[in-house]
Amino acid sequence: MEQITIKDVEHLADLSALEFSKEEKKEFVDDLNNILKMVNQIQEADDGGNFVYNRSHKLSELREDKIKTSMPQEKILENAPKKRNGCFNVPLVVE
Amino acid sequence: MELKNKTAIEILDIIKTKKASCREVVSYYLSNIEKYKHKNAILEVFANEALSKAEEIDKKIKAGEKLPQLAGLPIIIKANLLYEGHIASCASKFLEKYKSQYTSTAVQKLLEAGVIILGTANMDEFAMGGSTENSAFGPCLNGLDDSRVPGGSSGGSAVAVACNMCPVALGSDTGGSIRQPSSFNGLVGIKPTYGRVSRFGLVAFASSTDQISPISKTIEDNALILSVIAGGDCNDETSLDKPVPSYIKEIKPSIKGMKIALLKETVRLMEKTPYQGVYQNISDWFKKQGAEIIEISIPEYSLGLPVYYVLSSAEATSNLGRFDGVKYTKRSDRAKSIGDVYKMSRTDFFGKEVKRRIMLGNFVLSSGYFDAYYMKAKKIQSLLKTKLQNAFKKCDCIMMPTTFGEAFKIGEKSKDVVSLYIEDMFTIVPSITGLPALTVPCGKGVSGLPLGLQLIGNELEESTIYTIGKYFMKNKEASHE
Repeated sequence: MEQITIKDVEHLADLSALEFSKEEKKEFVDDLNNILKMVNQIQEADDGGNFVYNRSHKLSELREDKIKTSMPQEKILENAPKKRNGCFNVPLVVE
Repeated sequence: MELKNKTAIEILDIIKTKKASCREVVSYYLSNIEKYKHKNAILEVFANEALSKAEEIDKKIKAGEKLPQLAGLPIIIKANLLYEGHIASCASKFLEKYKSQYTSTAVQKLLEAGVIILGTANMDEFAMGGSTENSAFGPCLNGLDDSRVPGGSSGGSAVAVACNMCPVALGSDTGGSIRQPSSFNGLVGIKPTYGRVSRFGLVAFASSTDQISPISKTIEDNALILSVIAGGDCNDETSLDKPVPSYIKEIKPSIKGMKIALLKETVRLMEKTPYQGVYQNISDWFKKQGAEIIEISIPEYSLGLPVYYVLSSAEATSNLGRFDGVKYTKRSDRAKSIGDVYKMSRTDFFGKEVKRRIMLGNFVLSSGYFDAYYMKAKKIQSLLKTKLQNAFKKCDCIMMPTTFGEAFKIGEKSKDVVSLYIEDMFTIVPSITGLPALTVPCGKGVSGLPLGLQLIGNELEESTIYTIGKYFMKNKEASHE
C-alpha cells in the first residue's frame, strides 16, 4: 500500500476544513501511516464478496404526517455565536 | 443510615421506606462528588437543582402520594446526552457553553420515572477514545487507582459509580465505551442490541453503532435502568419497535443447559497475557454449573478492529461536519471570511484525537480510497454479522474477556495511537454487528485491579446475558470474597 505523504495530509486537511502547522502535518503523516498499517489488514482479507444490508428487525414506525409546532426561532438561535434579526450571522458569502 | 456502596434498588427502597430522606440521599452523593473532585469525573454538578427536586420528592412521600418507579434515584449522565437547559459539552472546547435545547429520549424517560440528575460526566472528547485522557477538561482518574486511566470513553460515568457519586450512571458505547470503563472500575455495563435504546438527543459519533446504556454495581440495577430507557422512538428511525421486557423479571436463577461458546481466536489472543488461565477457569466453572461449553471459530474476528476504525471514522467525519462555527456557540476570533469561520473554528476548538478521526474518516471516504477502505469494511462487517448469526444457532452466549487486562497507567498509551485502538479488540465486534454485550467483574489482575468478563448475546437477548452475568456474580464472584 502506498504511504501517506505531506501532500495527502494537506489534501485531507482541506477536505476536513482543518488547518495544521508544519510540525502537526509531520505528526499526521506518521499517525495516519501507523493507523493505516493496522487498517490495511482488511485489504488482504476475503470479504465474502457482498455487502448485505441485513437487519432482522423491523424499524420503528414512521411518525404520522401531522403538523406540529417546531422549536421556536429564539430557541434555535440560543446557541448561535453570532445572530442578527432572527438569523445566524456569518461573514459575507456572496460578493 | 449508611449509604456507602448501596445499589440503586437499595437506594429506592431506603427512600420509599423513609429510612433516609431523598434529600439525605442526594446530599450523600453530592458530598462524594466533592470528596472525589480530584478524579475529575464530573464536568458539572447540578447541586441546588438536585436538592430542591429531592425536597419535592420528600414532600410527596410525606403526603403519601404515589410516586413513579425511580422516584428520587440520583444519577449522573455522560456529557454527550442532551438535557434541556444544561450544558452538553461532550468534553470538547467546541461545546463548552452549548446548552441543550431539548432532552434526549433516554434521559427524558428516566426523568419521567423520577430520577434526579446530579451532574454530567467527563468523557473522551465526542466519545473518541478509550481512556478519558482525550477530554478538553483534563483526564479523569480511575475510580480505584489514581495513577491509572478509568477507561473510556464513558470514564467519568464509570468512576462516578465506582466512587459512590451516584448508584448508577448513563454512558454511551460505540466500540466499547461502556464496557471497557466498567471493566476497568470493577462494574457492570451493557451495550444493548443496536436500536434497543433511542439515540435521539445523543450527540452522534458513529451513528450505526452508538448506543446509550447504564453502568452499575449490579446486574439488577443495570436491568432496571435498561428496562426504563429501552424502546422504539418515532424520533429515531433506527430504534427497534419491539416490546421491552422487564429485564429483572426475565433473569433466570439457573444456567443449566445453556450453551456458552468460547471463541478460539480470542482465547489465542489472551495467550500473550497473564490472564488466559482466569478465563479458562471461568469456562470450567460454567461447565461444572451445568452449562455446556462449546468451542467456535471465527477467523475474521480480529478484523473487527480495522473495520470499526474505518466505519466509525467515516461516520464521525460526517457527523462532526455540523460543527462549523455558525450554530454551536463557538466561532474562532481569527475568522474574517466564511471559509475562515469553518476552518478556524474547527482548528481552534476540536482536540487532537477528534481531528485525527476526522482526517482518517475523510481518507477512507475520499476518491480513490472509498472502495478499498469503506466498501471493503462494509463487506467484512456483513461477513462478521453472518458468521455471528450462524454461531448463535449453536450457542446462547459467547464469552471472552472485556479487555486484555487491568486498567493501564495514565499516559502509557497516549503516545502510540494504534496501541490505544487495539485496546478495543474484544468489545468492537458486538458493536459493529449490533449484538448485545455485557461486562461483569471477574477477579483481579496482577496489580490487584479488576478484570472483566464479556458475555455476548444474540440479537435482543439481553435477558440471556443478564442471566449468565447474574449467576456468575452471585455464585462465582461472591464465593471468592
